[in-house]
Amino acid sequence: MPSRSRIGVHPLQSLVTIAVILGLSAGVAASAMAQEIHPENLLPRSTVLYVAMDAPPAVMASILDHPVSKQIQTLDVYQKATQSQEYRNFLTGRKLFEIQIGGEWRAAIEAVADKGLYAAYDAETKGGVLLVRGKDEATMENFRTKILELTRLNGGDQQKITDYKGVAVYRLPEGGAAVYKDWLIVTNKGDLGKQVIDRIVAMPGEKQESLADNPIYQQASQTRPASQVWSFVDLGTIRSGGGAQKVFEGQAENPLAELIVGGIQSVLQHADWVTSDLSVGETGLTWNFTSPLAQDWIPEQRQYYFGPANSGLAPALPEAKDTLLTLAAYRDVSAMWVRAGDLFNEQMNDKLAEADAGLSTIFAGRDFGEEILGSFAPEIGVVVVRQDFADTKPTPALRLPAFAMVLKLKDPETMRGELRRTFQSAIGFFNIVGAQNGNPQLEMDMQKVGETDLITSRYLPEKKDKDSTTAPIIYNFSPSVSFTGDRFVLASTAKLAETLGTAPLKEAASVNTAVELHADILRDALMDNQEQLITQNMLTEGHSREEAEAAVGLLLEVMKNFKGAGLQLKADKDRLNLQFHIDTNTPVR
Amino acid sequence: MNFEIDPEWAWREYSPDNETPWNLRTASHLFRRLGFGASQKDLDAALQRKPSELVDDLLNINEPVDFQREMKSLADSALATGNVKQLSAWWAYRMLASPAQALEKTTLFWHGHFATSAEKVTEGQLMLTQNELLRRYAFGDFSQMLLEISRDAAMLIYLDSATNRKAHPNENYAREIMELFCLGEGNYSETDIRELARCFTGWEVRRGEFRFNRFQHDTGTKNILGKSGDFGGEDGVRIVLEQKSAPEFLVSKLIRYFVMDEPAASRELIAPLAKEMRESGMKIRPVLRRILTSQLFYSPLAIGRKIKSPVEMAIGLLRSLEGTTNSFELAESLQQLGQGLLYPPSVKGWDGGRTWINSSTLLGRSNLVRDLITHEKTRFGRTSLKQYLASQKVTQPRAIIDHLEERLFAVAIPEAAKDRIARLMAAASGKAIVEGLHALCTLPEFQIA
Repeated sequence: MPSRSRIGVHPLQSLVTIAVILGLSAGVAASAMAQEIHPENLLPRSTVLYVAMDAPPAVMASILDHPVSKQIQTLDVYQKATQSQEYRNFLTGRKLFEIQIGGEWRAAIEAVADKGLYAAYDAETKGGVLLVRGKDEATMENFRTKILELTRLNGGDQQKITDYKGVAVYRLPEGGAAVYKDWLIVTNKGDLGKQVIDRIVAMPGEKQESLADNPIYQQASQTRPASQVWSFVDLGTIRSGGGAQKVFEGQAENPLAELIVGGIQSVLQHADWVTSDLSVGETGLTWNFTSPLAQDWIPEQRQYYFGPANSGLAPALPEAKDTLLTLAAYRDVSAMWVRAGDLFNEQMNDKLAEADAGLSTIFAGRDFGEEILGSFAPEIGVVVVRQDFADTKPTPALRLPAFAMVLKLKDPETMRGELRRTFQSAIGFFNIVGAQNGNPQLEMDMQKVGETDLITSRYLPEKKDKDSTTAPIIYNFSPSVSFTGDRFVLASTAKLAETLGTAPLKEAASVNTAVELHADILRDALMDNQEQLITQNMLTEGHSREEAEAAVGLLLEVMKNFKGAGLQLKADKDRLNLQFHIDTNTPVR
Repeated sequence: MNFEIDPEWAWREYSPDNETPWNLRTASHLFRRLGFGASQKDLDAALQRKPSELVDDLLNINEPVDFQREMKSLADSALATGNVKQLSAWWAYRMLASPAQALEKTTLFWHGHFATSAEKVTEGQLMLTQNELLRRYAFGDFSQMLLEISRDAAMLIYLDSATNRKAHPNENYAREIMELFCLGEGNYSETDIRELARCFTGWEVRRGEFRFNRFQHDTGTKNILGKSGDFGGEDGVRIVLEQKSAPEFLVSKLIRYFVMDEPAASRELIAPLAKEMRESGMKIRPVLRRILTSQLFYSPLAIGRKIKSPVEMAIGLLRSLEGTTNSFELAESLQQLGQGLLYPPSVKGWDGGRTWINSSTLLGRSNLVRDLITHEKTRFGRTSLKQYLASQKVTQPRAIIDHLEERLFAVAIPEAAKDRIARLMAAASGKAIVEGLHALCTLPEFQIA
């Protein structure tokens, strides 16, 4: 076996292995019938994880040739990573490989994996397998010859080659590797490798059960879209085998985590499968996760998450200029609060009981869970916008975005007064605490803008801060609320409370949860704080100002390529779908 | 051991001779004491100057306006978050980047002298204002500095004097101005403290600024240190400064900080400089110049006679090798080793000397050096240590050790240690050189300045 020190790189050993297999398997080809082989027919029925990439060259091109990739390669963090010893070893190995094959690494990999790259994990043998399909037999033969030479130069051990059903198998420290026609098989378990070879060399009519015959796989693969990477997980088998216990436990033990993933956890406790598909293109990346869903899988205490008959939908939100982030979700927080006893452990319930008592006092003795939270509809919205300080003084040195919660009141007439009084009490409380800490005081105001009632508060600037453009961080805030019909807005600034109180609602997607991030606004918000970013860069990186300016400038330049990112969770009658997406601007070539 | 040093010999101007030549070792000594260390470029330039000329250069160098503007902007940004720890990192960055390192080193001295901690004064702007005050007067008029520090909001808050009323005069500041800032123990009485405290009544802090509240000022007659009158705070400061012991106390502290931890300077040794300080109107620069150009300063009684504080050790290591690093983590490490910038342990400041070294801090110092030189953000001359040393034309283990010895060590490294470390660096790889530097920095000789 070639020593690592002689070659210097681990990946090279794998290539050597592949080469040996390629070389010794050529004779087997003649004995097999020409037939189209699908990877799912080669894998055992007990496969619990399967990842398929049908066209690796296209995926590589989408990622490596994208202008964003090239810009990322100029970033400081990337440059530093490439200075590591490990990366240098990798580059040396890659160069050796290129010299040996007489060509560029990428072209070689594109040829070897031209028709597909597949990975799987089998529960029965507890083994993993990698299936790679090359461009054609001639390409593989050419590749084989060159790599064999490399193997010989590095002292490849011919004794490690055995024969199984006419296919030469190169034994690895764990498992082995083999090649058949334009297929390469690498596994860490011999039994799994044998099963794959049994299927690949089987004569027509010699039917052997495979993953394709698994009814759960068949059901899951019906959802398979045209995507570059698709994967399947047999959740039922993993769950019954005791794997990934934490995922299936069903309790988040943390109210925030419960609000984010509680419903998904219930689905994972019952669903037989989950699939994911990834598409990468010039205009971005989309990653979908799909699983089955049944109404009776959601226990009563988690009805708050998807709503009755899983029909809860995220609300439409008012539009605001320079929106950086929006979050719209269906979550009946009141129902979660009152069912806390069934959702959380003892310690968390003690904390919630303590909070409940305190909050009930603030709300004049009314039950916080049932009466206060219960007075809001289950549709929740959060809006974050970039602040414009063009006409505002003092201007804080660190310019934070404004944020607001948009809620719907079930009984506006009753709750308006209640919430108004509570807001006034809260501002009074802030003023007392602020005075003790030497902070400026909040001054309250009330006004009506059209149909919107605004209750605002603003920090009264101290003399020295009045016209400052580098005022303390506190001047980012002017806590305010607005009431418009049944719409209630609690905002970090008066301007946002007014904007969201008076703006029309934009059309909402029919989903349970939607999060959207607007990269152009994020970039603007970062540019507002460019001096801060430069400072932080100088202090954390030890850079000079020139270096810090260059690093921050580059980061902002890279961000220009991004449009945004988002997440959507959608619950249909029988399907749960979670989608992430990152959108890039169309590259200019 | 206690022995007398002849003042006449001690303060005579140093003139290089065969016994004490002006060379890399003596120039490095000057940079270590009146700064944090020197790069090869600094040392090459230093050897072209006479020692007294170099001291004048260092004491008179002004920070370029661009640098001052840059540091102001950096401080404002650091303060924008409202986190005082950011200011600590800012000062560490300033120490590393300043072209006027004598000014930074002396500002650090005054920070220890007028010790005020952000642990109590939580408002960063007040700490920054005080820091700027100390830097402004670092080489200037001590009388003016003392008067301004007496009205400094951070100082008054730290010593619980933010409200000082005639009905209940707060004695904290009055006690410290006599005991720790000007006279030293034994040069005042408890009555003097009480009477001086009455002078400061009505001195308050409102909204982060000093204010004199005439309605709370005690207008009665005070008897302080043999003087009697309707004194205000300014009078109190003046009377304290007029004491004979004031320049003696300050000179003794300057000698301890810049020349030697032990033995403590005798009254006879202090006397000529105290007299000069008084005659110069309590100016700091002339006294410092006299100390730093003296025979005593370049003698074996001074070279290698101080223990490096954590700041001197870390900033010195980096500055000597043109290093830069993550200032936040550096500031945090310094705090863990007991010398947090803007976080002195008490109003007495740092005891210094032998108190820097014990079994626990030795391990901590070793860890700090390792963290510093292996940190992914640490660069030497904007590159790796190996490449930096190569740019200085040193690549072989023994040559590297000799190169580092001249720059980082006040005393010679034993040959046995050099051999051991050279073997450690035998591979001459980047990692081996870093290991070698770490091993050098854990030697007892490295702890000495």
